[in-house]
Amino acid sequence: MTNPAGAPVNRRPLFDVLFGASVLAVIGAVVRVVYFTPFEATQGPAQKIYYLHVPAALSAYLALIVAALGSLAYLWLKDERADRMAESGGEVALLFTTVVLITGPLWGKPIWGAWWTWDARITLTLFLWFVTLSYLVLRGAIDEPGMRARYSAVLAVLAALLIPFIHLSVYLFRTLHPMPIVLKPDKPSLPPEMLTTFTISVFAFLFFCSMLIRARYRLSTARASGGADA
Amino acid sequence: MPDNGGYYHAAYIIASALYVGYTASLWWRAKRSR
Amino acid sequence: MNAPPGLLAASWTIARKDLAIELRTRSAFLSVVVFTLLALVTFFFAWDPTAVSSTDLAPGVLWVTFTFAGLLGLHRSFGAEMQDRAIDALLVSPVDREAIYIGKAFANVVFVSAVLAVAIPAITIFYNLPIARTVAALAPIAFLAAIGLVAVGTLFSAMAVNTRMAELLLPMLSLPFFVPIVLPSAQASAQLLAGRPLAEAMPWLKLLVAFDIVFAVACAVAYPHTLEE
Repeated sequence: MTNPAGAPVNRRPLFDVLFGASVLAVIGAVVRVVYFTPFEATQGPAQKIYYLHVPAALSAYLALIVAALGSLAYLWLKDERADRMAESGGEVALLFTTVVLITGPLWGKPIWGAWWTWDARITLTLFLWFVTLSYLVLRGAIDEPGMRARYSAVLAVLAALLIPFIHLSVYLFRTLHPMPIVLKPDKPSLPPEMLTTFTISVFAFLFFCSMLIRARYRLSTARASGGADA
Repeated sequence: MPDNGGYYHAAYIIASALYVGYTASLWWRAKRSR
Repeated sequence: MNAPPGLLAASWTIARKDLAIELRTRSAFLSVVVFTLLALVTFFFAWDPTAVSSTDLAPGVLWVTFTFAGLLGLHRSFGAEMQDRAIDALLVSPVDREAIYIGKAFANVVFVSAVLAVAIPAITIFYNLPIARTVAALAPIAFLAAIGLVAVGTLFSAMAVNTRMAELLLPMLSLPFFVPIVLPSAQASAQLLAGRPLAEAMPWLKLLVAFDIVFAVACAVAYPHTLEE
């Protein structure tokens, strides 16, 4: 991809000031969680995993929406930039979904008494992880860029269609087979201090997620315009 | 207060490792494609 | 004879071609049937028959077996075309692209139904299930499940066969999509085999039918998008 004069397209840096700002935001949020937010008396330190788990889930959804919209845009416009955006969203989504699936049980075991509850949301997250992984494996298995873009876009759109069915299936399953939960804490409404920490965490991680997607997109563009070994 | 600090530390350490690791992988892949 | 065949006619021709090839060689059908029977037997030995009654065991075993047998059968659906790039001949011909998908999907439904026609009696015998109730419960559910399995599996096998890791990719892509088929099928089968009224199983059956309709249409529409312009 070069401009008409034949000079290479400007390689935007992956990690610029804005990226750095997002990293600082995340570090700031974590510092606030660890040092400046009180423990919740009945749940203990493990409750603080919440400030990590929920923002990761929201970031994962953001990345997945980027991937899905990019895929639709590619199928409609056949613009390879849309494909690169979808690819970026998919990879970043896998990262955040992995964090959700690891922090979830680490939070669930002390708070709910069970590593895994097979409820609708956690099961859906597991599915999103599998589907995102298979999206990336599919991409990795195709060398020809056009086919890779077409196939992965089709997979992404079908996966989006799948989500309500998974949700419904698991929901119906749960109403038939209620799973006992050993401890069942009431959902505490967060006191103002914790709510502020939570809000800061959400924005910091969403900011960081967007910057990761952008960096990944720039990596794709750099590769497409011909890296050292094309 | 229940003594579940272990879970708390594990979650934050693992999550940080994943985020740093991914960022590093982006940097490394960019370097490789130069 | 100069106008290109319509969608249904083209689909039927393609389906007939696939089925004719399969009838002549029968190799895929036999391997899938043998796999199915072996799986049914293996699962039985994996459980303690005094702890779990065979009526409880059977639905789960049947649907897991069905899923993997289905994947085996689907894998060869496009495999034949890959030899000598025979699919190019199909693509050059003036048929609607959707017809290729619909034709192959139809052939696959016939194939899967034939396997089920062996599997359901086999499980009735091996697991000592009451024959009338079992067949009445399982056959319609199995047919609905087969439609969903084939709808998704035909598209994904068409895609996977063009990639480097077809044998791994087909299950990896398909299995998440098979869950909304297997779950309702297994739950509804378990209820019906246990003698519960049909009304109780209706939510599951409705979910299954909804899945079939949505994905049959979505995959038929998506197939041409996987082809080059």
